[in-house]
Amino acid sequence: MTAVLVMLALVSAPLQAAITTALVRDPLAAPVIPVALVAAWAAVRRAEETWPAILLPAVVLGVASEERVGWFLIALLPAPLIASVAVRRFRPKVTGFWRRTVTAGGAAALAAVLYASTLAVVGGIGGELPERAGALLATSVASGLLAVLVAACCWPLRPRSRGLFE
Amino acid sequence: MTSARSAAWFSGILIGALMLLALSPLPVAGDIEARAGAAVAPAVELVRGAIQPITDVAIHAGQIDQLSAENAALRQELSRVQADLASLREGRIATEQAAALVASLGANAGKTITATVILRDPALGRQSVVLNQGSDAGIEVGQPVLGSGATLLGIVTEVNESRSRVRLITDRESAVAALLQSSRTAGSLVGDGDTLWLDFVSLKTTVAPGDVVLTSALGGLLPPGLLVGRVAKVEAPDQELHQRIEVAPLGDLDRIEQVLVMTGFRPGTHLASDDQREGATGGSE
Repeated sequence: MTAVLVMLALVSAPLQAAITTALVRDPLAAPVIPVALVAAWAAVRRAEETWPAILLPAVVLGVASEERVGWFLIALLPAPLIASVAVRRFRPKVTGFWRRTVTAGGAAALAAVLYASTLAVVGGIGGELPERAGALLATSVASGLLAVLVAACCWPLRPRSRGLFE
Repeated sequence: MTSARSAAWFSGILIGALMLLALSPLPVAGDIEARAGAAVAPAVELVRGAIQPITDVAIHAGQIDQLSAENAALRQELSRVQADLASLREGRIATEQAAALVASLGANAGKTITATVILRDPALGRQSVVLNQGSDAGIEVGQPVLGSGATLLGIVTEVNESRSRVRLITDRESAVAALLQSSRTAGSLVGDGDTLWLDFVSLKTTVAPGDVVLTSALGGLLPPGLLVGRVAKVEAPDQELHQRIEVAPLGDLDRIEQVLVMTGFRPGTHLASDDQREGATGGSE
């Protein structure tokens, strides 16, 4: 299943570059698709499967940008980390559909803020972040909602305990 | 066990990222990045092509009111332009006489090709786009890129065989020689990531909102007379030597799809060769 996630993540990077920058006037307010995907997958399936999934999107975004691949790797790094911590913290309690999707949304919202903040600092607009808190909130909410949606779509892929005769 | 594996992944990726950043100043890193970009570009274009219809619907659905208003404004503008056309015909004769002189200076800027924007820079604070044409189509670093109405959008900064990157004039690292059309005062037009500022214009110069800003041939890096923007705001602080002039770009830099690259222009050169002059008179693709 990790390969499936890696392929989805690979597709999410050009989507991020092509769609969000065309649909949203302020790039700071755009939802972060790879982050939403990673958070959703970690919440519904296994968090450890998500680490390899940030490598290819970082490369694709890096070569599509004047910014370095390394900065995209660092910006995406909090996504599996936060998802991993959130899932580990809530897994004993988080069993149902809604609880898992909400965990995905929360993790994605926080990771998206860190992603946007990291790239804003690297891009030289870190000083503007306080006055553009609205845009940060928008990217956070949009990424969180997207993660909830992706988590709902990934729900059939959740690991299930096998019965005696399965 | 799981947390140990996660810690290993985290450390590995972080170290890898830091190594990439440390090695990035080396020329070979740029070369590898360019090759990776060339390898990735077809996939990006494929995805972009697949999602284009959805994107178009989503973009234009939110713009119906704006497009209607724009349409009405354009109709009015067309009526005014038709009236102007009659008087301009008279001026054409004089212009043709001057054209020979202009050709010897700027004819090398005449050859153009069209290109499609396939990507916008996803990094925050960066204003650049990637075009689907490269050196195979005659694009070179330093060539100006124009949008609708022949307004300057940016300058080519990187080229490979089939792709090129254009730094938009609003990028923080962009600075072009420009002048105010009304007073012929030259200045440096710099971007701040969102809008444009015309620097080094003396406090004595009269500048008013609405004044047209054109490119200047100073430095030989751009052909003269390309439309860039209009003065939006002028401030003249007492303690400063220069005015603070905000310029609104004429091109819609947020919605660029097709652009024109001036492949006939060679930065730093003024005299056109004969075949370039032919290109200037004959040919845009």
